[in-house]
Amino acid sequence: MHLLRDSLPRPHCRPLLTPRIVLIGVGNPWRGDDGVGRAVIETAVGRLEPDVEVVEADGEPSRLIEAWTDVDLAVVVDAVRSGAVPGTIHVWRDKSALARAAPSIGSHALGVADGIALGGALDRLPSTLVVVGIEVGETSLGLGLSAAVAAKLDDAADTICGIVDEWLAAESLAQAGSKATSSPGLNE
Amino acid sequence: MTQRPDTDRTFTVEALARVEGEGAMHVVIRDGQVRLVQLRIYEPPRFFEAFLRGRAYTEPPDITARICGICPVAYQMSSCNAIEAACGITVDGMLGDLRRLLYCGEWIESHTLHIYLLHAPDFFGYDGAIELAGAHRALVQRGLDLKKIGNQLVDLLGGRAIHPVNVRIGGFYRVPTEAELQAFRPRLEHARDLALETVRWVAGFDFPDHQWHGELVALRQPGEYPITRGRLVSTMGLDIGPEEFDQHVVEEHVEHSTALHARILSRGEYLLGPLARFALNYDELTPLARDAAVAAGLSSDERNPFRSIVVRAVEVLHACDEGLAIIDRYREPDRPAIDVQPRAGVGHGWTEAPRGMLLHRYELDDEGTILTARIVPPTSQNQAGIERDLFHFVEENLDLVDDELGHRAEQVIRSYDPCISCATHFLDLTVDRS
Repeated sequence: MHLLRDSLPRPHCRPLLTPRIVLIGVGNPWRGDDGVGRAVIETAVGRLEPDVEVVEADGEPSRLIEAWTDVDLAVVVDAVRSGAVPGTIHVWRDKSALARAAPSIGSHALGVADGIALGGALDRLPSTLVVVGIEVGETSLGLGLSAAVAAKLDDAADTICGIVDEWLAAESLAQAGSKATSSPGLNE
Repeated sequence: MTQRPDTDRTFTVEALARVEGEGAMHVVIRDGQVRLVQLRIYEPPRFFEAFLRGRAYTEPPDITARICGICPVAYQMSSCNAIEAACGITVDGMLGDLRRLLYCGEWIESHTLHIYLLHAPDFFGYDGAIELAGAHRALVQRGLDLKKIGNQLVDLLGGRAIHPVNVRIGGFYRVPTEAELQAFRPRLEHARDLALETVRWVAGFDFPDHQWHGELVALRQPGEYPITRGRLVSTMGLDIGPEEFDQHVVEEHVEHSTALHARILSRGEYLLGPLARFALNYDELTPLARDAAVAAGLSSDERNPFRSIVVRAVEVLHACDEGLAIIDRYREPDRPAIDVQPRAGVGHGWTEAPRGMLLHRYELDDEGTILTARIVPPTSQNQAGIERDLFHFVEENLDLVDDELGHRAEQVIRSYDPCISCATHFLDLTVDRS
C-alpha cells in the first residue's frame, strides 16, 4: 500500500536510472509512542522526491519483505525501547547485526529484526537497508505521541532525508564512475 | 541425561514467543500435582469500547479495524453487522458476497501467517520461521506467496492491505468491476493450488497425542461455511442468536489477566476457532476442501489442538475455493452501499474471525450516536478454555523438566493461535524453580 506524497524539486544531480527507494513506517498508532515510525514517515514525506515510495506497516515480517523486495534503498522507521532517553534517534546500517538484534529493537511480536533475518534467509533483502529507531516513552493504549518523542519528529525526518540524499549522492558517483566511458553525463 | 524434576515447581514464561501480542504463562506444581495454570493476557482492557462512546454510528468499521493488525476485516464485519442490525438493515446479495470475499482474503493471510511463520517451526524443532526458512527456503517462500495473495485480495476490496478503509455501514464506498475481479482470478487459482499443497504438507507432521475435551462453539449458517453470519451452535447443544449471547455466556474479570474470561452458564469453558468451526460445519466445506480434509486424515471428531494447523490449511483452501466461486457469480451491484438511516436501539452482530466468533454490540440514540459499545473478541473467550487445556497438558507431562515442559506448553498455546491484539511486545523470559 503506497501513499501519495507532495512533490518537491528534484535534486540537480540524479542518476540516469531511477532507483527504487522505499520508506517503511512501522508501528501501532493506538499505542502511544509505538506509532512514532509512521509519524516520522509522514513528516519526512513532504521533504523527499515524489517517486520515493512510502509504506505503512505493522511490523509483520512477510509484509516487510514484500515492501522491500527488489528495492535499492529501504529505510525502516520503528519504535525502539533500549533504555535510552525517549526521543533518542538510533540508526543501524549493518543488516547482519540487525538480524541478530531481535528482540532488543522493535516492539512487535514478530518484528523488524525477524523480518530482516527472514528476508536474509530467503535472499529477499533490499540492496541497502537502514533502520531508524526512535526511543519510545509512553506505549499504553491511546492515540498521540508523548511530548518528548513528538519533539523529535523533525529531527528524525531530517535524519531520514539525510540518509536518502547521502545514498543518492553515492549512487550518482558510482554510476558516474562506471559509465564515464560510455555516457556523456548524468545531469538532467 | 535429563533428571526427573522436583515435585514442587513454579515456572513462568513471561512473554510467549510467536504469539500475536503480549501474554505470559504461570504454572505451579506442588507435591507432584498441578495446582495452578494461568495464562496471563494483556489485552486492551476495553479501551476501544470507551473510545467508541459518543462517536457516530458510521465510525466503528474504521475505528475497530485498528484494534488488530492481523484481523481488521473481522472487526469491520462484526461492527457492520451489529450497527445494521440496530438500524433494521440486512446487507446480502452481491454486497454480502463481496464482504465474504474480503473476509476470505483475511482468512488466507491470517491463517497462512500462523501456519508457516508461527506454528510450523514447532513441528521441525526449530525456534522460529527464520530457522525453518534457512533449512526449507522453498517451503517458507510458498507460505509467503500464499499469504501475499490474501493480502492482495484484502487490498483489492478493502482499499488497503492493512486496516482496510473501503468498508462502510451498508456496504462499501466503492465496489470492484467484474473485470477487476476476473483479473484477480488467476492469482486466486494459484493460491488454491498453494493451499492444497499446504494441506498435504502439514498433514504429514508428527502430532503429539493430546485432546481438547470441552465444548466447541462456532457459528453455523445452513448452506455455507460460517464466515459472515449464522447462529452460534456448539457440540453440547447451544443454538442461539447474537442477542441471546448474554443469557448463555458470562464474562468474568480474573486477577491475572486484563482479558475477561468467558464461560457458558451451567457448563463452563468453551473453545472457538478453526477446530470448533470444522467440527460443527464439516459438511459445509466445498467438495475440494472436504476431500482434502479427508485425505489429510481429519474428521469432524478431530479434537487434537496440535492438528488445528491442518484445519487452518483446509480453511485456507476453502477460502480460496469459495472466493473463486464468488468471483465467478459476481455482477457489479447498482450501488456500492445500502442507505442506512440511524434509529434508537440496540444491535448485535457477530462473524467468524480467523480465531473464532467475534461479537459486537452497539446501543444507538435516534441520531445514530453510540451510547454504549461492547466487543467480545475470540481470544478472551478462549482464554479460560486454553488454561483448562494447559492444566491437563501439564498433568499429562509432569515427567518433563521445566524447560521442556514450558516449551511444550508454549506449543499448546501456539496451537490455539491466541491473538492479543493491539499489543506491543518486549520479549523477556524467566524460569523460577522453587
